[in-house]
Amino acid sequence: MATLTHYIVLSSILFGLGAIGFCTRRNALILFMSIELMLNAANLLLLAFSNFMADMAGQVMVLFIFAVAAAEVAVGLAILIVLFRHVQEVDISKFNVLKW
Amino acid sequence: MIDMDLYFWVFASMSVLAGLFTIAAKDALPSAMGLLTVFIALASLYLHLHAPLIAIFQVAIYAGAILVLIVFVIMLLMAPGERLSAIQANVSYRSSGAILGLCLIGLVAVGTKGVSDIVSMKGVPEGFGNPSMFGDLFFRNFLLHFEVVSVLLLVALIGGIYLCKKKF
Amino acid sequence: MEGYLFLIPLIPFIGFLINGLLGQKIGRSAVYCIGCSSIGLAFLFSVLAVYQLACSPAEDRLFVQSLWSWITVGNLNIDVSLMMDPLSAVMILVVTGVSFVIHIYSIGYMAHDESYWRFFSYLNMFVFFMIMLVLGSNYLVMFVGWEGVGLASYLLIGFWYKENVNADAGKKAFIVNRIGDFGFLLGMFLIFITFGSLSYFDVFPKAVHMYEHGLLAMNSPVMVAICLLLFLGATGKSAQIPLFVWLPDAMAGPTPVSALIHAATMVTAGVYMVARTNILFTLAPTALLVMVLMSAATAFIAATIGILQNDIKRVLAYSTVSQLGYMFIGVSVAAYGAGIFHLMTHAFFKACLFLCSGTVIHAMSGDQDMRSMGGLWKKIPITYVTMLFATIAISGIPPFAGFFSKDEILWKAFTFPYYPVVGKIVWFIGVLAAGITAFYMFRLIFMTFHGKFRGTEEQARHVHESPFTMTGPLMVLAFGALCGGWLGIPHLIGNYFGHIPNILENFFEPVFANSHEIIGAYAGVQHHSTVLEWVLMAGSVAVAIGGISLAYYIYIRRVDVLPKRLAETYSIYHKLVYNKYFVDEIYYYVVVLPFYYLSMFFWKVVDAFCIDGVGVNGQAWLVQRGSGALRLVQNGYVQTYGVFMLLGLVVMLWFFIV
Repeated sequence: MATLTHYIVLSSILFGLGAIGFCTRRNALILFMSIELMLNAANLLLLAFSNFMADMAGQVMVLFIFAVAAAEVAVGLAILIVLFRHVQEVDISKFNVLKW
Repeated sequence: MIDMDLYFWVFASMSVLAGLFTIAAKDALPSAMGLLTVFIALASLYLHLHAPLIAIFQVAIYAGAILVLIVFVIMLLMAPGERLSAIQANVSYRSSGAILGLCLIGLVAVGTKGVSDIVSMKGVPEGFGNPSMFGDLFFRNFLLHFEVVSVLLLVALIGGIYLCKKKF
Repeated sequence: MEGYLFLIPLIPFIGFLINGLLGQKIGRSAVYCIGCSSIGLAFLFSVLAVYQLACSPAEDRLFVQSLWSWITVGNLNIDVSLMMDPLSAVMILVVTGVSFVIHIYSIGYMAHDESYWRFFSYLNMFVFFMIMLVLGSNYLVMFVGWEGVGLASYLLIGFWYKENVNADAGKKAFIVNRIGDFGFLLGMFLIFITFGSLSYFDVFPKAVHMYEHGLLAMNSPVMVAICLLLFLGATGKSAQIPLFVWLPDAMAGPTPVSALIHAATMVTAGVYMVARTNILFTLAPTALLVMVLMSAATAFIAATIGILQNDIKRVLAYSTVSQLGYMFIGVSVAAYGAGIFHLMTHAFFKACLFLCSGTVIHAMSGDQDMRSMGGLWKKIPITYVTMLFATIAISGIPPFAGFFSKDEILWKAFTFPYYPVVGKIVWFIGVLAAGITAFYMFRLIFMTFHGKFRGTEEQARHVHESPFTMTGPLMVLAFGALCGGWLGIPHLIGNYFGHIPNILENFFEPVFANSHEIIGAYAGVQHHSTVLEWVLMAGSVAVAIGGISLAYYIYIRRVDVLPKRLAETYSIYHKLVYNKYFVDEIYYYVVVLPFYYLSMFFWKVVDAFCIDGVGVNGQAWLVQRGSGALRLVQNGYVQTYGVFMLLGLVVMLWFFIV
């Protein structure tokens, strides 16, 4: 039986993977993809609880998260493109001007 | 009937493996494909969780819009993969981040051991997750949220357009 | 008269204000006029008040005028109120009378000084505070006067402040005084705690009441503590051991100041205070024992220092310390009236001595060293005669004033009811000191006025008698030195010559009655043979005459040879005594230097390093360094920030889960 615990553990694994990817990779686009992974993990958790508590509100919240993720990706990629026009790089370890 | 357990384990392991592939791939494009697999596996799991509408939205929005946008940008920028021989900046932070991520997983796994004993399995009512039930809740209790999110999308739209204009 | 008591202090105060604020504008004559007439008026009013007091029947001799309510906090109720009883009557006459005479003298003395207006203003201020001290009817008003005369003393000692020496002497006086005031304050606090009030009308009857009803034992620790603390205050103000070191240095001030403040009035404030507090002292015989020993030591030691000093004013300064020791012996053997009597006679002859010395110094063009004087009696005869009168008085030769008062003190010391043996020892020391006093005073006369003139030609031409404004006061005071003692003729002599009463003792009777009763009840009524009294009296006179003869022998007959030879033979003692037993040096190394190093420590280490360096600047340094280190966290990589967020998340989860 797929109990709630299984879903929680699965969600945390996905979130952890997303976090590791975010912290480890240097390519900006892969960074974005790790963020999407984390967001999906959150969605999964919400739906799991919604199902096991028989409360529809969780599903509604997931829809909002979809909207927000979409908006975020759009704007974030736009920024990345503008940046790319200047430095021809997507390696984020080159972007450290805003320091100290 | 399909054995629900098997169904869960198949798609769960698919999503985990694809996630690993996403973060571990050298180039951006294979990573995007891995992400696609994750999305689809999750959509299947949503079906199992009595959320068919959300599953459809997952495929349509995430796999259909967001992922396409990411792939488009990958193609546009022709970003090279990471060369391991290149100078590694900021290694200490990044490696500690990886370790922290593992800790996170471990913590949650350990901490939520007895949750399912506490949360009693309620059976879901008839029509749970239906579009009609969803719409009922959505447009009744969450109307304001809906309107605000629409404003958010408008702002994102304007922001995206503004950012990418060449000159004014 | 009761309603007009406040005029006595008020008029000098107004004089002080006018001279102080407008003195420079109104011209010399006006300043002299205001300065002297304010004191003159105060003297007149005092005479009126005392006359009225004396006319009232003996039990009724008390005037009280309450001016306003000063402090009302909880149990503490203090009014500014004045009172006149026989004790303060005698004091106020002495203070205003001698002050008036000295103000007249100052007119001549300050004739060539440009800051004369400041001088008269300060003198008036001093008299105002002294009057408040004497007329106050509670300890706090007395303390206001006590502090005020200390301030006036500081200002007047350092009058010619442009010389460092004078300013230092002023500071020394004030600081040493302050140490005594600390004791006085503690004594006042204890009095308040024990009796619940600071007013004389509450404290003294309550003390008697408590003693008679067994609530307060004889010689209780509280009483002894109060009395010793008050005595500490008195040692500061009245220059006893251990706080007498300021008085010789105070001679840096103008001579009228030395005469008024450091001979006649301020230094006697301690004696007045003890006499006023007589009940409490009577109830603490241990304190009296300590006091009598210390004052006898002071009288003797100061006299020994005086025999070798060469500065004419220094000799008189040490003489003052010694005579104050006598006054304190008087009040320490519970003979309060005798102490005040000696205070009165001393005011006359010591003020006269100081003013005469001022005239001599003036005649010698500012030279104070007796080694350059000599043979002046022909040239300044009035000064010589008046100074001689005062010197005979201080030596205790009848019928001059000093004899009666000194002898009464010695007799009362011999018959000390609480500690008879100690009393006899003190008597012996006192007689010795009397002999030494006679010796050095006549040494002063012989060196200054007799023999050959040893000064320069320039000085010899300049020697002249002073104007009448200066010699008049000398004559008045010399007259007092002659006749002042006749107010207190002891019963022994009075009965011998047929019923001459002891005026002063009868006058003081109501003030000291309680004390005498208590002593009588405690120690038993004393009977002494009149023969013993005659013998002792004759003995002290003989010792005085012996001192005079010795001085004559050394300084007239063998003046060329003997002083030098004695100095060489006993050179160690000579050096020791000449350098005043190195008291100042001892104090410097034992007290002043440790304090100096302590304050340097507090300044350099505690203040500059700890508080400024670590506390204030250190905080800033810490913040600066800390933020300097912390800002390096912002290294510009977005992944670092992500790691920190993750870290926070893990910590929170850890917190909740574990």
